[in-house]
Amino acid sequence: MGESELELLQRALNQDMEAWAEIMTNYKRAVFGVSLGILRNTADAEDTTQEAFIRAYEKLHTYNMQRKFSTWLFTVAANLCKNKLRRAKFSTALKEEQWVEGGEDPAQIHERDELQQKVRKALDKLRFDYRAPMVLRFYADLDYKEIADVLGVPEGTVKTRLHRGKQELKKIMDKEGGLEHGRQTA
Amino acid sequence: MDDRQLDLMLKESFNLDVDDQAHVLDGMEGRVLEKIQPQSLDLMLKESFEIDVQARAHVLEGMEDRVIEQLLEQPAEKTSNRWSLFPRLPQLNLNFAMAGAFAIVIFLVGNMVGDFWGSPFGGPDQDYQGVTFVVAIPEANSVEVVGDFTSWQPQSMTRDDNGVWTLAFDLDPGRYEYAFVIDGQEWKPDPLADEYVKSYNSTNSVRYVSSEGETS
Repeated sequence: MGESELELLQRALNQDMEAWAEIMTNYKRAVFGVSLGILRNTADAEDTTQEAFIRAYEKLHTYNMQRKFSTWLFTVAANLCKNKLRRAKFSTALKEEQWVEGGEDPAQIHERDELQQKVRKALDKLRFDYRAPMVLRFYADLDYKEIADVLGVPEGTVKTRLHRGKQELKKIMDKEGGLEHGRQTA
Repeated sequence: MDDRQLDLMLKESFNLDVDDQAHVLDGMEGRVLEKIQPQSLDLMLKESFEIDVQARAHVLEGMEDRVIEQLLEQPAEKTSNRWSLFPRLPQLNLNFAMAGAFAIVIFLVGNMVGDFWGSPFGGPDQDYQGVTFVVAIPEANSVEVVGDFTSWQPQSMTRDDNGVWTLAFDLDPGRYEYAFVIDGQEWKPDPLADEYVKSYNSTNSVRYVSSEGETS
């Protein structure tokens, strides 16, 4: 952790809201990405990101400054995501995201790529146990140990879940003909 | 059986064997590709997550202000804590020794008060929602949680309009056994538990809590 971040956290701990705003600016995209990857819904990911920063601020005194701050923050967000998914099982199911969007933005044009669509749809069908380590690994760039810390499971379990998750993903894509297309584009 | 018949039978037999076991070939292309290009799926996932965020990043605009607004609206005890008093001590113009003594007193009193009255970070707290227990039993008149974290004393859950009962606790990392008590009598396991254990004549649910409240 850089000294400036440590300073910001210490100021935030002293209820300096400007410092906390700066922390949020630095991390909101990462937290949103993790939440979106797990929940697969923009509105819920936005709510969760906001809630994660509120919760993290309230619990900042419990944060061990020896630990990587981003990992701690992802833990807060991942737990909120899991609570949300737990509730969704009983009440209104999370709305299915429309991954295709219009417009001429290069990112959106890319998004229309057929294979990417199949990856997204396959991710929608993966269970939390597989999806969470996947987004922490491939979006947040955490290593196995960090993912284990975030999810509260042993490192070996993370490796197993990543492996099985990918197998499952390929199976789902295979059903949709995704690998056929993948062969042409890989 | 002449040689010609045997040849045909062998041919047929080999073909049948292959037909029987052909399922092992399902998805083999993918497995081979993964070995030849082990990173292809990883890269695709990475790219997929990044593009999703890029396309939706507009929702993050102004989030800092919204969070701060909410934090400032909350009661003081939610946004402050006894540890945060330490950095503010110099503002009191006390000398270092006095500041240290004052901090120790504040810490001890804070702990005693927190233990006696219940700290905002300990014990059941519906708003805090550290680890949430949820169960859908619309027909129940009351649902309570009992567990080793409540010393097996019933804690009332709150019902929503759909008959979903919830209650949140702030729990330390660890393994917890619990059950739901329906209408003050019937003990039921949690359908969403991480695992189950037999206890006397009933089944207890088990929840594992990681360092920040929930299980994976």
